[in-house]
Amino acid sequence: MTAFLQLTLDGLIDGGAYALVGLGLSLTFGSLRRLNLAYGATAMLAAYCGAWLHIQHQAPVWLVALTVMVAATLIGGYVEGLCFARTEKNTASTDAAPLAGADGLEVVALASSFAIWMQLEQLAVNLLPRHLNAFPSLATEQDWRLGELMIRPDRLLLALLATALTLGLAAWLQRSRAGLSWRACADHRLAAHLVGMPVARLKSVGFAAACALSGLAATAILLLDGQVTPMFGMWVLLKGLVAAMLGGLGSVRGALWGGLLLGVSESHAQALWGAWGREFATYALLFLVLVAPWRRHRSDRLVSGVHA
Amino acid sequence: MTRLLCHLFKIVALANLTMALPGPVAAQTSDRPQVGLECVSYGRGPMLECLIDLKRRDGTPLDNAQITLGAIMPSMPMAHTIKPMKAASTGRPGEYKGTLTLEMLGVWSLDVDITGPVREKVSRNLLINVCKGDARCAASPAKAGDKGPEPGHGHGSSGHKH
Amino acid sequence: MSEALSAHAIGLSSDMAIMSLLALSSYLMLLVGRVSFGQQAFFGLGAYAAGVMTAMFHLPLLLALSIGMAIGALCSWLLALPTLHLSGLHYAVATLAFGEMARIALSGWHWQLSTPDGPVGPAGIDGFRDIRWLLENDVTPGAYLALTLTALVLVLAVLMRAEPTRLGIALRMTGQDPILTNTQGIGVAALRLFTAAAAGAIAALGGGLYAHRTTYLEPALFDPMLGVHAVGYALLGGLGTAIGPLVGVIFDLGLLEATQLFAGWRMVIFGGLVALFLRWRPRGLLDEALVHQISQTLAGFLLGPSAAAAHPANSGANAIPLKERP
Repeated sequence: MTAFLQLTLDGLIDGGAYALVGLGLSLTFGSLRRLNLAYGATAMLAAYCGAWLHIQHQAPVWLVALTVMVAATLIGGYVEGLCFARTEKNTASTDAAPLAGADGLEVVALASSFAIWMQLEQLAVNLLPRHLNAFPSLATEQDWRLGELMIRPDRLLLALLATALTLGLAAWLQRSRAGLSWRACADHRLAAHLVGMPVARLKSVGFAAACALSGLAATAILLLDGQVTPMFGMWVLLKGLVAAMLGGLGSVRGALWGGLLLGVSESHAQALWGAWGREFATYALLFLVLVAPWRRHRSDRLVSGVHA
Repeated sequence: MTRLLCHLFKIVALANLTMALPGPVAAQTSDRPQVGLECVSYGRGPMLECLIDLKRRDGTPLDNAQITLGAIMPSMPMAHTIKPMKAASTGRPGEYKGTLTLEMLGVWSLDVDITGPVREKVSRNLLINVCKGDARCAASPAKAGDKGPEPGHGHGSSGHKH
Repeated sequence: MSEALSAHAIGLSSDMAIMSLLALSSYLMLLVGRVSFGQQAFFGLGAYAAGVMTAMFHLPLLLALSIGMAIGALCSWLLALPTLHLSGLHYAVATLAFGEMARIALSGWHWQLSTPDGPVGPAGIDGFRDIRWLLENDVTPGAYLALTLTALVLVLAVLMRAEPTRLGIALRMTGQDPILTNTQGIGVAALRLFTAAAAGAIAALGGGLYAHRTTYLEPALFDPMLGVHAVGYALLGGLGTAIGPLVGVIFDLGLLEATQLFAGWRMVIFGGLVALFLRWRPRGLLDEALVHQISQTLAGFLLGPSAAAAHPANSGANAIPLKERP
């Protein structure tokens, strides 16, 4: 029983990181209605900028964190301008969400975002060619004991941060005027425009905030690792994708539930089948959620917009 | 269209049957050479200098072999950034040396392609690490798929996890 | 020295031909409007299958490749079944997940037979070594390049021959507008299944050829980046004709890679170009319009002006056949 609880607890704590990563992706999708495959590479390149500062100039932690967030925002702006800006003009229709299957532009935006993914990964590797690159480390050595359970305090802090951020963001989206206007723009661009909201500006601000959030997620995770490798981009994208899709793209709390569910599944799968099983379980879970029969009636209509 | 596919299918099936007729290749006593490979990395690039030790099955060194060295990164199989280089005999029996210019550190899959007097192709995975200054560092055999620690578990998973 | 260079050129050409097959597989899926990031899975499955057949069952190469193709077609068909009704976005992510599942499954597969030279067979994450059919049967790299090119040409011939037929046109219609296609009485679901099987077979053929060329496979080779590159080649080269993906491959592997003109910036340029193309020319370089123009020009050049006027366009996308062509 203790083992089961320990595994679940570990999974929940790991899930915090996944939730944070998935949150940025979910928000990006919510505001643009397009999946940004360059998400992982953006986070990685931004992290590499921070790591470069740390390695070359011994920058303090706060500066590294700030750099990563700013870099993520700037790179995200580049990605948005190149891949998604053009597609926005054509969605100013009375349709709330264009049928995804028939919308060729969605495929185009998806495809161009993966092209930028390749580009950003190469840029990152050019910046820091080594396989293991140092990142400032805030990891703790000691574990805490809670009865018979062991908890790593640094990871617990990360999980709590993720939860607080997610729930806070959800509350802000639901309760505040600014959140309401953001949701309105994401839901129905034309209607928001007609009531006088500065749609383009809100959308850009929203996207920039989502990118900054992804930078924050990357920083938080890497601070616990103390290093960053070229595998980081793919890891961020895949984990974020699974967490976001499990909870429903565009849903803030969904990213949290998705991340926690992913963490717990991985933890138990690893105990049952080893590292191999853990990896397999991640993708099997995502696959099953996508092809599940009860989703069939919804799969041809993407839930639009951002919601708590 | 379907007629074309039918014709194609018949041709392929016939070709397969014709080739299958002689039966599977009979197992022969092995004449594959034993290939020893040791590499050191140095300098910027990094450069990789490899020493190949070629012996026949019975242990006698194999001379006058045509050896070409190549390398790919397992994660980018179709990339041809590394120019294959011939390995030349060092003078000692059965020993050859070749140098490759790599692009990155990390895990590389090294190909030793022997075209004469016997044909053989061997692949070894090596981890090329950073080598400071003018030193020459041995490249260690790497486990395939050794991509380093997964993010989120960097400093080793906590001992109680599994 | 020149020997090493020509060996390098032969190796590069073989790899370009093999990658073209994978790119053609992605191209087929793009034709029916599906962005698939899982084609590398069928490439890998075909590679392992063909390798197992030659290295462990000692079957001849062509038979092994055919078995690999059959397995690739079957697996692709099986994947297409539950994903038929997914939207483009969900489909892309589902195929990505499937690709990873296949790779992880291969890295957990251990099956080895003992031979006098040591164990032979897939060894999980350590990969599958000693696929030595070419070495045992003394096939030179040049001869193997000829075989690979023959396979590529055959696949191209089939695809291009199918372009102006009802099947080819129906495929393109499905990609452009599935609902309209359905109203024409053409079964979109059946078409998608068929295309998926064909794409899986082509990818598996490429994989089998790859396995024998390098004699060594490991699951890490078949990661999502391979599939992403394949889709990129098809999108860049153009979706108007089966030659389009080849243009993409030649541009990346031939120009950027081999000439080392932009060492270290290859992906930056390639990725940037794909994104730019998608912005201004979503159907790639050789899109349907350009292919139509080229075929008109060629027809005029070869057949003379009056014959060209009567000659139907070669490009399937714009041709509406009045009767089925033989």
